[in-house]
Amino acid sequence: MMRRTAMSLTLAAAFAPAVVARAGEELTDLEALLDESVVSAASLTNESARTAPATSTVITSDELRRFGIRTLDQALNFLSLGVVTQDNGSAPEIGARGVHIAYDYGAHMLLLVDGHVMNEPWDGTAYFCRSAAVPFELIDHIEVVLGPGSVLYGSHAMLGVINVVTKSAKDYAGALVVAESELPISGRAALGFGVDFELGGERGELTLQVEHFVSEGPERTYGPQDYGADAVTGQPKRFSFSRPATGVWGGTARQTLFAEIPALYARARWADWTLALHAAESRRGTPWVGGGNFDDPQADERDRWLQLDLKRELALGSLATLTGRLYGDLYQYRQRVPAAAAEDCLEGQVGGCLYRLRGRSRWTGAELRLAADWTLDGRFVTLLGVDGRLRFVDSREAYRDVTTGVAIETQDYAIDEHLVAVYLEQQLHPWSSLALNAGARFDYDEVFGGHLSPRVAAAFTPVVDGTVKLLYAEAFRTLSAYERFYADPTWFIASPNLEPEVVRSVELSYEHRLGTVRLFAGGFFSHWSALVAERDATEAELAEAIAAGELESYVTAAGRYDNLTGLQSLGGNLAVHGSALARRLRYGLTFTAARTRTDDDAALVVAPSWFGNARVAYDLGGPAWPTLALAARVISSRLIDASSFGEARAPVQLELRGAVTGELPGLPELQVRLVASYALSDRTPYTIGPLGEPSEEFTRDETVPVDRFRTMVTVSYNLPL
Amino acid sequence: MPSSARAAELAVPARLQAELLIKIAGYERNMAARAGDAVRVLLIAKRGDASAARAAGQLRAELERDRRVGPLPVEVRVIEIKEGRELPPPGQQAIFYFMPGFQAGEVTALVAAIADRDLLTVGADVAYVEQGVVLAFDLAAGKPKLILHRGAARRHNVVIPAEVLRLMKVIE
Repeated sequence: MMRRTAMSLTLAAAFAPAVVARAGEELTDLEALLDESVVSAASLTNESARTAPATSTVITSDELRRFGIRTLDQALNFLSLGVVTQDNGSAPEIGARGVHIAYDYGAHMLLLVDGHVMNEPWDGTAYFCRSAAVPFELIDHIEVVLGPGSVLYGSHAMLGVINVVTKSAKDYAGALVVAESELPISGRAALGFGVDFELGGERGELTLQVEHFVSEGPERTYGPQDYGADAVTGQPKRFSFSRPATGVWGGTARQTLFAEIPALYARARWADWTLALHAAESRRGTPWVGGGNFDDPQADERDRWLQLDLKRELALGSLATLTGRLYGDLYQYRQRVPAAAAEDCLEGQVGGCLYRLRGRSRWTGAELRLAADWTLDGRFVTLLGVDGRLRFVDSREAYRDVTTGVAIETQDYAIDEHLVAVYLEQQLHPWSSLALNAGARFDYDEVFGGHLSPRVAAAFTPVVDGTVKLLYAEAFRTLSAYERFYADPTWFIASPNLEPEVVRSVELSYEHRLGTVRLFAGGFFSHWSALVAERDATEAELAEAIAAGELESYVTAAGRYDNLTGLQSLGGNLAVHGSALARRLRYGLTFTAARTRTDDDAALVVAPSWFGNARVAYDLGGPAWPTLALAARVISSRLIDASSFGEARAPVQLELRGAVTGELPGLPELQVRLVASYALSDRTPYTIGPLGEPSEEFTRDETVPVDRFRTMVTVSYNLPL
Repeated sequence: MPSSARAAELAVPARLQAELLIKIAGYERNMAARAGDAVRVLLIAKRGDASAARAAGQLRAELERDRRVGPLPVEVRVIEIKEGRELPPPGQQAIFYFMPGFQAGEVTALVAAIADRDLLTVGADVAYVEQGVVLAFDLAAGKPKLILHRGAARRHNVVIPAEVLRLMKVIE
């Protein structure tokens, strides 16, 4: 028997024809299928991105490795379609398809890690820089779903949904040790492992990574901005406790460009249970937060997270799957702003103060989801879910007099709120060439009452390799506690009755496969309403606030948040990506252009009207040869936020990134990566510094500087266990 | 059938698995001789595993969507079994496709029951390859992957051209 088999193998290998064709003739079809992206965030079902009810792209761990990507914002800027980020000096902010809201700190994009919501309820913040604190070697892929996504997720999913999916133990096997540095300013050390196990006759796995990141610098020079006299003392304004009062802000900052971020992420699976744990802290210096001293090491921000997510999936007969999820989060934010100037402090604090803002939130919830495959063939699937959440938010703001040590609390609130949501989604595949998806989610939030978020999508495949997609979707955002309750007796009135922001979007796209090349073209229109922005309080509001004791009696001008405006964005996306030379050469190109106008027909500040990226990577082949990668991203000029010079613009920005990744000969477990990045322009669209009025010395906006050239080296060692 | 059990879903969507399977079957050197007048695919689900039965239904629907391996039509049948002796005797089936839900020991026993048969055995779970199934579909980094067991391929008279093997992860 064995002899006959061996003989047939030999003969077969030599003479037997394939049924279809000899290998090579149609290999591109197989290669194309293996490049097909599978997404789950668009419909909570694993499905091809081609037919998913949204424009979705996937950034793979291979791409992250090839291009030496270390943060979510880098991944999105260089490797995704339709999404762009810009650093506001404190953190990168995210925009998509022409809409970019300044200083929203990611609140209009829903960020998920393994399906767990990262946007916290105190300020809605989601970080896309290192402060996201997700160990990057653990990331399996990043799903980028463009467009409104509240139909399944509720609040925040206005620009889209970004789902970071971590690796299974089979793809993170053994122990991993990482050392990395952006010479000479940062260092990161990481340790992780992934193991499969069997317990009680059931399969299980555990993946875990812990890491510590620190950075110091680079030194940056700001100003000088000659501010002049302190409004309270009439003397030159002070920007330091130790240096003399000169009225001049700026110099070389050496003490406020630091960061320290320890993080842990772990996920365990056993039988039908999954448990994820995320614990992290991000502390970083803040050169400028709208006031306070220059280059004072006490000026910092700190975020802390502890997140747990427990999930169980059960089959209910052959018809349905029930998924239950319990989750709970603790979040804490602290900001410190030392101010030597009397005008930055409360009345009477003429020697200066230390401003301190603390926000905390805790939330816990339960979600039950039932997926029923009525025809047992995937053609008629219903998803029904219910999500209940309790959230507790408190915040405290105080000014401590540095002379007397007495702290005066100017704000102290605590709120308990609940949310209940029900969602229903129907997938229908009447023919092999048509996929329909319709659904809606009803959120009942104690803050604003009820809100319905529908979505309807159709994916039609008129030819084997081409898919037309048409969809309509809505999303909303519950205003954060900060937006509703932030108040300061010297300049700001709370706005507890804000309405949720809403976006409605329609889009049409076509995707075509030509061998291993994929082409995508799409158009979109979105209408945003009730956008929240800061405005000046009216005379009547001032008087009312003073009478109610919300403002000091001497205040003559104050701000407040309000549902101020709407906007419309009309535009298109183009993308090409593929592979050649037996998949050793990979390339991609994306471009997005949009015309975005507010209801007043004004352009949106900081929002680029076009942007895109291009990338190419070549694997030289063989274990001893490295992979070379080059990527670029470009952003159009855009209006500078809070400009003192009318419609001043930040110039077109081009960023380049090159990476070489390889193994050491004879030591395949040891991987080395060298990365260099360069930015053409040194200007962002975010202003910095205290000056607001043009003068002979102040002739153009000073903006948050760009770290133009940086190199990084990463060494990782993978030890099989 | 129990009212509740572990949900064993297809990681790679059924449509994509079907397209990949048809492609691989077309490249496999001995498929034409093995298949005869049609490529007969037997989808094998664990008896009592509700979600495996559902996954089999989804895959069957996708495979029956007017797909052909070259000139050969595709015929699909689903069976539910508990152990290897319930597998059909050598005959016309060209592909045995094991649905998710089998435990490691069960897969080993199933593979032993069909040892040395001229068959392309396929697993919907990547772990099955380590138990001796020839080919499995995996999902990693948001893309489908093909995993092939070289020894199992040899035992089951499965010959994949080198150019196609280059696109797979091959284990010994």
